[in-house]
Amino acid sequence: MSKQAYAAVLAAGITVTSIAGRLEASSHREAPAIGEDQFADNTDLYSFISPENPDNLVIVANYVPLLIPSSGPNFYRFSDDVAYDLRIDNDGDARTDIVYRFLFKTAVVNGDTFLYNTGPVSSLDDDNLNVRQTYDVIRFVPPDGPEDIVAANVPVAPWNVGDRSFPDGSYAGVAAQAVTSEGGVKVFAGPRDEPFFVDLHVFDLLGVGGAPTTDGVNVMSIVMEVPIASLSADGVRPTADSPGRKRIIGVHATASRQRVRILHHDAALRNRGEWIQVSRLGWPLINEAVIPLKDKDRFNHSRPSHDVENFGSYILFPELPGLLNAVLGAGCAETPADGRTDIVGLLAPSGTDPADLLRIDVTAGQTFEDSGFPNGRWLEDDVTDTILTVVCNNGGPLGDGVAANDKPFAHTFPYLAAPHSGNPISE
Amino acid sequence: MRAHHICPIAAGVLLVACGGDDDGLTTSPPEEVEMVASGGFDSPLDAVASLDGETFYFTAFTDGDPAQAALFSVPAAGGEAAVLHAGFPLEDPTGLVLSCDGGTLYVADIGARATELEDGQSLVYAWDIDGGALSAITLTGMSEAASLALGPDCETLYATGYADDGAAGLFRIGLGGGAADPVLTGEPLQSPSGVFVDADQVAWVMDHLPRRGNGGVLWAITPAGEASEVVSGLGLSEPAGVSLVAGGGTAVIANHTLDGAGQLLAVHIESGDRTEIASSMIEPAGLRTAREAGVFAIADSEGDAIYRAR
Repeated sequence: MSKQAYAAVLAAGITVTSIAGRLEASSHREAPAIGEDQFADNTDLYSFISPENPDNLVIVANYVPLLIPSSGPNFYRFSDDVAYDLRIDNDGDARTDIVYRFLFKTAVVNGDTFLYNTGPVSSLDDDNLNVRQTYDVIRFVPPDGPEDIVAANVPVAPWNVGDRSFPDGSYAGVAAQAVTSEGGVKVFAGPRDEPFFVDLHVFDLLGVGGAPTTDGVNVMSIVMEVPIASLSADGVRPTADSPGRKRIIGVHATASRQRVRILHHDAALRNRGEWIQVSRLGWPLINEAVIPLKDKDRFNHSRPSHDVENFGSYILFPELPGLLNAVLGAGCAETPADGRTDIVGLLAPSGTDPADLLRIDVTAGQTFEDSGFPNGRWLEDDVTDTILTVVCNNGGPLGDGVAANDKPFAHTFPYLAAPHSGNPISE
Repeated sequence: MRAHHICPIAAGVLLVACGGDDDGLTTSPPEEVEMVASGGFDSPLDAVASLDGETFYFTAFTDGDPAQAALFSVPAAGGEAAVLHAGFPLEDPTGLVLSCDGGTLYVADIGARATELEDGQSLVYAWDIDGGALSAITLTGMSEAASLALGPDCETLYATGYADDGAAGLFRIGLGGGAADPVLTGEPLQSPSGVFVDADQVAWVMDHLPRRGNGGVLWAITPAGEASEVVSGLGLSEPAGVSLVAGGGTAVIANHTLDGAGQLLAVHIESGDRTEIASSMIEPAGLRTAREAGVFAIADSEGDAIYRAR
């Protein structure tokens, strides 16, 4: 548990001692409908002050879960039919004030071959790279405020097909060409090593034993680094004199599909209509371990500003402590009569309205060292252990026995580790 | 010619009210909204009023299992919805418009191309109200008609859909079908939906604009295919209903707010002023005004209800 998480837990009046116990996966295939819609599935969200520039905030949104590296011939990518949004609340009311929308397009250079690449690839514009994806980033203020194209036709990093396609360790260099800076905003999109570490055996009746089940798989990542000042309502980074609610940036990521899809006999398809949100993510594990089956799909379609009325009872009276006691004898504390107001408090720092947003204090002076779940989320944070410990509240730390990722993270953009190779001849 | 109807003064420039004979038609939006039907159908898509406003026709799905796409009628004063036609060939009938003589309903069905057709052909349907028969009208040059409107000559249908090259467009269609005449294809249209055509053949087209960020817009498209953005930042359903009041000047739009609340919205074209007419619907979708009465029929697609506004 990070020091910030400990501080939050202690501030909430929770005593921490020691005990054994286990649980969960962040947001991978967490609800029935999104389980059938892999390309729109949010898996994890991270937000931290940049270790490279303390005036910047980094947001990492991962989608498309649990990808086997050797998944050819049609390797994973972002969907051209999904709107991937990073949504910002800058005044604490849990409503979206700024949206960064990522829209993707795929092009095939040579449709007469089944190959993703027709030879070794040495750059993003290499003729041998047959399947290419680009994206636009649109920043807008809903519902009808200013709208800007932040970046257009930005290349997506290719899949790490294998060491024959990217010989001599050349993949990292090619993928690095997908880092783009426009107007102070730095973006990257492409496959990365799955950064979330957990023992997924939890779903066998909470039976975990420290198996790193997400090692060796990839995920599709969007990474964006922006000046903190550009996210605030008045264009200036908040200071210690700013109202508490305005010192907090709340982030959630969503994926949306258009309302109607029409399939044609000739294999063409067309989408039409408005964007309908089908997936959302703020805190890890909320929809997995807190929201019950009957409301999981509804949660994914809902907005954080309605969380209290829609799902507040699940936060106040979580199912998890009872399960941990029944199955593992974890000795979780009895839920108070007025519910777990301490957890609600963690979801509403500095007087913000409670909601499932990943919130971080961005007051001037805050640095990367201050970023750690639940004050934002850094890649190394063991959120599973943190949330288990908080929810169980038995006086001791709980955990799933997996404490770190299989690959180290960088302290330079895009921070995530390179994806596993689909054909690791040299590994 | 209508009084105070709207005409474009220049391509890409704001539209303003322009002159016309005063025929006494109202330019005020409806104020009173009431539910006229709920139950016996599911997910209504579009609704249209008879010429006198006494009968509403609407497309929806039957509430049986399996649900069938269907055409219904219901007294505008309220009552039980009656099935006029259910099942094949209807698949997803998103658009409905009534002929000038009140005798024929024209139905746009975005699933119609999925039926067995020759390459390049698509369909809209005609329902003979007196005869009780559904017939297909074969088109070429466009597909997936989503919404229909009738032109002021009463002999031309306007349809939103897609050209053969996949470009979104607005098309003119003869009542007997044949080659669709493109009014505008491609940019700025992206995902056009509801359409209304005024006395000057200006088409008012709702567009979800999915490649932009901030919701849908209402375009005004001249007969020459010049588009002007009239209203932006709309939350639109599918279909996205729009009609101008009988005398023009005000668009009535099926909208939903940023929080997802259904809203019937009046937008004064010249000033851009927006007025909420009703917030009682969950997801207003298709809507259409009666040709000779100040009555609007509105489909609430997620509320499973039909409303009347007057």
